[in-house]
Amino acid sequence: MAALVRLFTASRQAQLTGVRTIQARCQSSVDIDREGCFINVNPQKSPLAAQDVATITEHVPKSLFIAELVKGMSIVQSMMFREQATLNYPFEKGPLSPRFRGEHALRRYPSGEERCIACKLCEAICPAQAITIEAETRADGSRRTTRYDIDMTKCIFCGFCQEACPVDAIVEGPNFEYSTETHEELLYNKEKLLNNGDQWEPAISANLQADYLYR
Amino acid sequence: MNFEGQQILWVQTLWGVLHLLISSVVVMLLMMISVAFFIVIERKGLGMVQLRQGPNKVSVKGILQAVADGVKLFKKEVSFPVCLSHFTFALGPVICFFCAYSLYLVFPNSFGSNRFELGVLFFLCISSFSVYGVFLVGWLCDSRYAFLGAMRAIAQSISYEVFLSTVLFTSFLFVGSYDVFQGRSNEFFTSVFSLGLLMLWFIAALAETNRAPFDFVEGESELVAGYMVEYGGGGFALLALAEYSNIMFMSMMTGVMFFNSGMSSFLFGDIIFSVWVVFISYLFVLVRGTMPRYRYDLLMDLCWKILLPLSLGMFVLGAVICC
Amino acid sequence: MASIGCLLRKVSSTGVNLLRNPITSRAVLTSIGQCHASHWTPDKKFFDQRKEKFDDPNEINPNSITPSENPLLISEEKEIQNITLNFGPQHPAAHGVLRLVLTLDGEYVVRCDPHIGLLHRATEKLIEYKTYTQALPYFDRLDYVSMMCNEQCYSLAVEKLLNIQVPLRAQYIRVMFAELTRILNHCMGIGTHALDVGAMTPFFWLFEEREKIMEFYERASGARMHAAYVRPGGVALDIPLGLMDDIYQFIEQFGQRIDEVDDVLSANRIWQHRTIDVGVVSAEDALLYGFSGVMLRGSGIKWDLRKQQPYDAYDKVEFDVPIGTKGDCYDRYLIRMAEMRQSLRIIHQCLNQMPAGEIKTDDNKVCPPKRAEMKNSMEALIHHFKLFSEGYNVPPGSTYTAIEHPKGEFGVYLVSDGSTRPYRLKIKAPGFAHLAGLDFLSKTHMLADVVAIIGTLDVVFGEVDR
Repeated sequence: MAALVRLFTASRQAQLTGVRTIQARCQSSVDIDREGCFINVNPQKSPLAAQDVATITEHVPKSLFIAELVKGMSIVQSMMFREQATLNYPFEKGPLSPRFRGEHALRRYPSGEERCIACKLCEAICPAQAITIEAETRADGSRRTTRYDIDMTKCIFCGFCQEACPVDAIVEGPNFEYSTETHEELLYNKEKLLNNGDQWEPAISANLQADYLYR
Repeated sequence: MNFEGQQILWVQTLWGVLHLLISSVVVMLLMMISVAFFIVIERKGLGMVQLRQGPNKVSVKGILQAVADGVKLFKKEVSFPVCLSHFTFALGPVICFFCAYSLYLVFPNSFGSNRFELGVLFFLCISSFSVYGVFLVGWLCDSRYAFLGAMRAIAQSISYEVFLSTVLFTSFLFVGSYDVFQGRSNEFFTSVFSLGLLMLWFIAALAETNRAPFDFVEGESELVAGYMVEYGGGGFALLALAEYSNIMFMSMMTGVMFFNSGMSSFLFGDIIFSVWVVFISYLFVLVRGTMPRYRYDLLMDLCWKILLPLSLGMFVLGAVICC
Repeated sequence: MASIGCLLRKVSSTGVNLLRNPITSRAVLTSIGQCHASHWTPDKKFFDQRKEKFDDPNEINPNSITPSENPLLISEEKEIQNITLNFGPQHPAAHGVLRLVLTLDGEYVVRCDPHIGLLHRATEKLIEYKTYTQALPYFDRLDYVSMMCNEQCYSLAVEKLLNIQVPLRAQYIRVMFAELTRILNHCMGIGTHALDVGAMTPFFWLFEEREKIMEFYERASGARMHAAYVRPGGVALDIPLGLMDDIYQFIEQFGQRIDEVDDVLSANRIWQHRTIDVGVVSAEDALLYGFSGVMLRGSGIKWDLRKQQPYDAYDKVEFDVPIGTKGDCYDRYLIRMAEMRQSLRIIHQCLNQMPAGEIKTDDNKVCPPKRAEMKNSMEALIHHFKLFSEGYNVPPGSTYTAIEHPKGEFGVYLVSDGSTRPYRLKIKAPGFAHLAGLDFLSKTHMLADVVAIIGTLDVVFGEVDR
């Protein structure tokens, strides 16, 4: 264990020296070759500069003992002691912001009445023409949809439908795990969308609340 | 010779053959097991330096991943290209595997089943021969990518064979014999000279085993899978086994040649030896993680213009030191 | 000398004859063509037939006058044909769906013929049938590794025709995200370039950084890649609180990540051997082929649209433009690395200078009103309905608006006839011009160099095929 720690610190130090030289190199090249606002990244050295004895004595052992390759390898090795980036996916998930545009859902009012009033703005704005709406007037005189289909295989998740909706009925919720085995299962109808809304309502309303200031 | 004497000779011969058979099978099994674990080390090590996990599902932390893969590969259906002699198609991987396996006959452990007096020469012969397997595989794939890969393999093996054997002979100058096992008890290898030789040898080993940065034969991003594109299932498994066991063997040779303080002791020596082998084969992994791939013509330049003159110089120098 | 040549040729022709194993090479496919069944697999009968046909391949009939039966008649002077290698569209180094038909002399490239169109989606035509708002998401999907830059270009074009001014905060947000996008793009460009050349580790490190940037994308716009965030008239939503702090933390540590990649690659002699003097573009060639961006600056031409004709807030931030000298792959790699560092500088300045205020124009004929307003005010609701159903009218006219996209000059030529839909929209993709130069770039190089050159061209097929 102690040896491991020592290896780690050694490689870190090697890395830091590397960083320093790099910065120094950048700095010097910037000073020399600044032409207006353009920097030359790879200035061609005059052949005379390489004749310098000091540079040669410095350069030759380095190149003989493949110094830069060893340095590269030590940096690669030092990465082993860094935290891994992998998420153990089904058990760990990355963070999602309140604005995340995932699976669609149709929301309801707290009374249980569906929000959508069939204004068809979402249908109109949808760039992929994934939404199909048919509407009728109900017996109580309110206008509601009889059909609200989203072809999830056409949808490009641009979020324009939820921006268009004047009553916050259609939203793109935080769910992104809805893969299916068949195409047909991804042709969502109104029932499925309302179900989604019921299922995800707490998360959706929390997200809308969190993002309230910006919208 | 009387009857009894004949009988004893018979028994001895039979016992010799049996011993050879049993030890061969044992060596093969051990080789496969070590290759399986080396593959896991490689994938795990590469995964960790690349900030990912590598195999982590099969058994505990993915230790048995390679075993599972091997079982899967051998279970898979063997498919042959249309109108190709099945025998020749199967022959390629078998030659590759057999070459890699027969290298292990010079396996320098203290319980060795057989001691080769001329182990180093045997090693050179076999490693030169193994290129036929690669060529056959590449040719039989009947794909241009595979063919290019095979061509590269041949050119690379032939050029690096010269360089490799020069380095090998230089170090065995100090042993004074061709016996690999005797190399283990040699004690010269602590000087700057041997450090330089080690670097040359390691480069040669990388090129000989077709590993990164010299992995043109299967250069993933150029030749897709190189010479073995058409092989799946068992054929692929044999090729992979051959490749990785070559790497293990090269690490072993490196251990014998350069890292042998304390290896001459009987049982303890074997343990130290295996630690070195693991360390060196890990270096192979690390190099693979770091280096970009060389280019084929640059590799030839490197071999003939830089490495071979250097190694010849080393050889002369070594000879002078020995005298 | 001539006799030696003759001898060599003889040896080689015998070798070729030996190698020409009819079982493997002689046209097997012709007879498959004769079997007209739709599902046919070779059966035993088929193989037996073949066996009879080609039982003795080397049979020589000295009386025959057909060269196929009597090889003695074949003259020793033979045409040697170059290999034609089909590189892609499934090749791992083809960066998507590039198909190259390579003519190889040994491993040297004689001719390199890019075939494109496998990702063609008729974006330009589709956009003619969409309103200006609806056309926006299509731009995310052009160059799908630098999404917001495409959107920015389109938005600038529409704004130019509408003749509207974007609020300062929106300009800064755009510049900040454009530079994040540049890092996003170069991370992928350098990572995959290194992967193509064979160094696989930096790829993973850089993709981890990309992941972080995509998280910023997601927090600002709601999508990790196809943001639809930069809109004509500003940006869609204000950036959430805390995002700028996190971006600051990100750019703080990102310099070190570049240094690590720098250490592993820049000084590495193998990397230098593989990239220096490979794919050299002279300044003249670069101009003739219409290269832009890094491909142009690599040859030492001082041209950067952010400097030459600053858009958005680029005239308010300080940065340098890296240029190269030789125009080889190594210079371009160094430029990309330096550009990432410069991007960090720009982002840092944007964070410091970020003004408060609106994020889109207050002209409700172009930008939809805020939701709270829309729910309370009748007028706003009408605007909302108009904008989301019919869209907004853009005055007649045409504009070519170009930006310094991470890959080069990304331009939009927009013709409006005064309606709510573009009359014509032409996209100038930098990758297309660069891909056209692949032939002259890869000539006389080896197969492995073609891969390196494709990596350094940094083509993405979303924009090449459109």
